[in-house]
Amino acid sequence: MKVQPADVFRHADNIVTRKVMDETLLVPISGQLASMDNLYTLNETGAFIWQALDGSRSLAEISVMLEEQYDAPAEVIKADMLEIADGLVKAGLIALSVNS
Amino acid sequence: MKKNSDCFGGESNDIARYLAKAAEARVPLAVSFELTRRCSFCCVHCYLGDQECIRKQWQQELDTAAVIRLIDALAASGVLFLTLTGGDPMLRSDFLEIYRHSVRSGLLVTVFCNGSLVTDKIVSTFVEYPPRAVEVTLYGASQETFEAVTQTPGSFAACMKGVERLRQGKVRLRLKTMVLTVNQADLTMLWQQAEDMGVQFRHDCSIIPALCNGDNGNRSNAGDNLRDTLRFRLTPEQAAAADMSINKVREKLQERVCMAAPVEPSTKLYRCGAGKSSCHITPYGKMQPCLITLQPSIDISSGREAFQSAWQNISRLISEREAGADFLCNHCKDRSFCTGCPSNCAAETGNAEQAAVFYCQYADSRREGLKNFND
Repeated sequence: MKVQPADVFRHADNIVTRKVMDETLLVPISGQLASMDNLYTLNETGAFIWQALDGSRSLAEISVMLEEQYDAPAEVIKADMLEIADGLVKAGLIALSVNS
Repeated sequence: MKKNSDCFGGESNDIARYLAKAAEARVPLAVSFELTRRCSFCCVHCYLGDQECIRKQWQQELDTAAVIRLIDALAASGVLFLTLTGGDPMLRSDFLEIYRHSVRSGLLVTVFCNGSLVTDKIVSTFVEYPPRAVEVTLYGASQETFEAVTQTPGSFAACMKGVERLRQGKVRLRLKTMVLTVNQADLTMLWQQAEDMGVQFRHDCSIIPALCNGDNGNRSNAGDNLRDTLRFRLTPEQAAAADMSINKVREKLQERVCMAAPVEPSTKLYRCGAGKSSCHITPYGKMQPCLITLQPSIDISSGREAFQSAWQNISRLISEREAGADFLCNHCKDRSFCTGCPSNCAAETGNAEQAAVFYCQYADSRREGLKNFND
């Protein structure tokens, strides 16, 4: 599946978001993903995007939010955003929102 | 902006970093929670002591709501690794409820059990919500040796059935043993058995006296004295020989010795993670530095605030405790070979700063054993 700017994603059901020390961790708790080999640490940008993927915003909307946060050209941000979303989909961490 | 590959970190890269960071920040990253001290076995060497007496204390154990409240407190306090242990935690009728709640809270859960109580229902839950690992102790390779340790008829068959259930369910399993006088002849077979199963294995020769835990009537399963467990301990020379007889153990020890960087002798008494990045919770709702470090022991049964306050206290008292001038272990040349710690010593000598002779001789024998092998 190729992600599109208009896509709206939500967190996969089996992921628990933890704040441990000052880091955001994604802990898969069930299914094939649930092993220590799939403990995901998000950096600041990743955590920002993760919070924004709440099942109501499109990737394009999140790109706009990122533009307000980061000093980088809009096209670069948009391309990076799509790449990150693609990675999250492939890792099984997000799923298309049923309402999108 | 950071891209995908920079956003995620794999577990293998992160555990050592997390532990170091937690120790620095004094965050209780790893907690062991003894859900009960009751066990369906009655092992001669058990550090918990007299099972008959312990079983009578079951009404003192935290109830389900209190355990769940504490699990919530752990998650809120930044705990990542949780070990559910016992006794055998599966003796509690609410074990699965506690286990599921722990995993759903985003804790990475390891379960220590004796294997005999593993049911199909437990395996199904482990399949749905995989543990980090389930660890089972094999006390012998045959019914005869196994039950000479557990003093429980039928325990061998029940344990092996449980292990098979876990394997059938493809649950991440680890096996281990305590090496005693009565099962030492089985050690090589146990390692081989685990290798044949493709399962990680480890052994431990360091039996300690049963602890003054207040719930065992000051008796062990081996007799009326807490120290009766030591009758089953190998001599230091036998223990070292057992280690040297297993290639993997010998190689790991060699690696540890080679990797041990020369460090300035510490002035602190405790050098492990206890009170820095880890702690232990008893079935009766007390926090203590580790399973065998009994003091300080602070009531945390009321939940999050009590947990955090107890952690602050333990963290300060344990991590800052200076060793006295007579404490020789920090300067010992055999530190890399030693399996002892101040709490092992306290259990044996009554004084955390007085090394127990067993550990000194065991370390010496391991050093000699490794030297002889390399020569």
